[in-house]
Amino acid sequence: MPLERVLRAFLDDPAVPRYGYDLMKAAGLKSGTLYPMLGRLEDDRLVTSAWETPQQDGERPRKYYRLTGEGIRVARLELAQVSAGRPRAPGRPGRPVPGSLG
Amino acid sequence: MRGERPLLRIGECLIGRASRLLPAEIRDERCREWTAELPAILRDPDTRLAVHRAARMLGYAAGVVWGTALARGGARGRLTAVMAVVAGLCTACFLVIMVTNTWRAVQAPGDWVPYFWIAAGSICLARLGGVVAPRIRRAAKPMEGVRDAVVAYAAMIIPDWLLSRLLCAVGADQSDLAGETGAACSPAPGPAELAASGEQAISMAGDTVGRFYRARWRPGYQTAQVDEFIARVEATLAGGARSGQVVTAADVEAVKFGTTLRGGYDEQVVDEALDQFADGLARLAPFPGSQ
Repeated sequence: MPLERVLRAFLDDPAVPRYGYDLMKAAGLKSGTLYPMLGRLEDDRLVTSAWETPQQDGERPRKYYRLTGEGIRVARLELAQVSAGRPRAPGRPGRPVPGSLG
Repeated sequence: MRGERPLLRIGECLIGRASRLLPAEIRDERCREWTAELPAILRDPDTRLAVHRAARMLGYAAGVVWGTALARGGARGRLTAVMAVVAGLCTACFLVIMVTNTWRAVQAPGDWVPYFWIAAGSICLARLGGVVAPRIRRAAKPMEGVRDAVVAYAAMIIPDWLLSRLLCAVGADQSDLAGETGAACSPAPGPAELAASGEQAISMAGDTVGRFYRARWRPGYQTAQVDEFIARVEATLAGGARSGQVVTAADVEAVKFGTTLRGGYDEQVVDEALDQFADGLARLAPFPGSQ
């Protein structure tokens, strides 16, 4: 799922801002899929963007994207939901023990 | 790279075309963003062959045109049209069932079958009203509320496997199902709420009824306990938790919830979410009051 791949790419290191082409490579998506998705995530305030000045002369300024705090939380939950829909890894410990909060 | 300039010009021309499809207020910014990537793709050190880089750059520009043409407005419009047809057909079916069975009930008052169908049709129509009315009432613009209501209603009717194919076909995704029913997860609290104190976060837990899937036919975690704990985790991640309410990754690993036979949160889903939270908390710097 494209959104899942983008979120995973962001969550690899949420603190690192990513530019479009970088995300395309990391998520294995086409530009036509990625940018509308980034636009929606930005509209939903899950992603924030900023222009960064070029490090080398002659390079054009690039727009970098980063997950917001809310975006990180939502992304983690979404990925948790996605992975919960898949068969669970064998031998993984569950948490079905009744008791009080830790 | 030889021929870089004409290639860039072709790419910029394609992006210019794509930009024209965008609203004026974001056109320039998007155009600048996309054109800035073109030379970077052409000089990408990870791609060895110049021909491959050139093809990739042109593919990038063409993809932008394609993506813009299928952008939100278009996809939402197509989705709304399809959903309106589905919702309309279903509503028409309910009405036909009710009218014909009312007629049958008048003709043969002793027969119980028409009454069953009338009741079923009434329930479906009442459900439709229950979905449509609140959305229209809540929407800033009535037509936007109608659109959301139609989409939500049709999404309720269409089976999940068909819905995902339909979304794919019209270039939309789950986020276009605004106010969708049966959402897997509703991360209810917004950023402002997340920034609230731990105490506020705990009080918030009572409102977040649909935080996770509920296990319908098997035991699940007690929702109040999970909500309270997750609220503490969220407050910690947002940096708004009081010292006594701060949760560490170890706390997340060790937490145990009571179970309930019905209506509890799906254990597997909660466990997966907690694993993700533990990962997030582990990346945080230690809080002064955590230990």
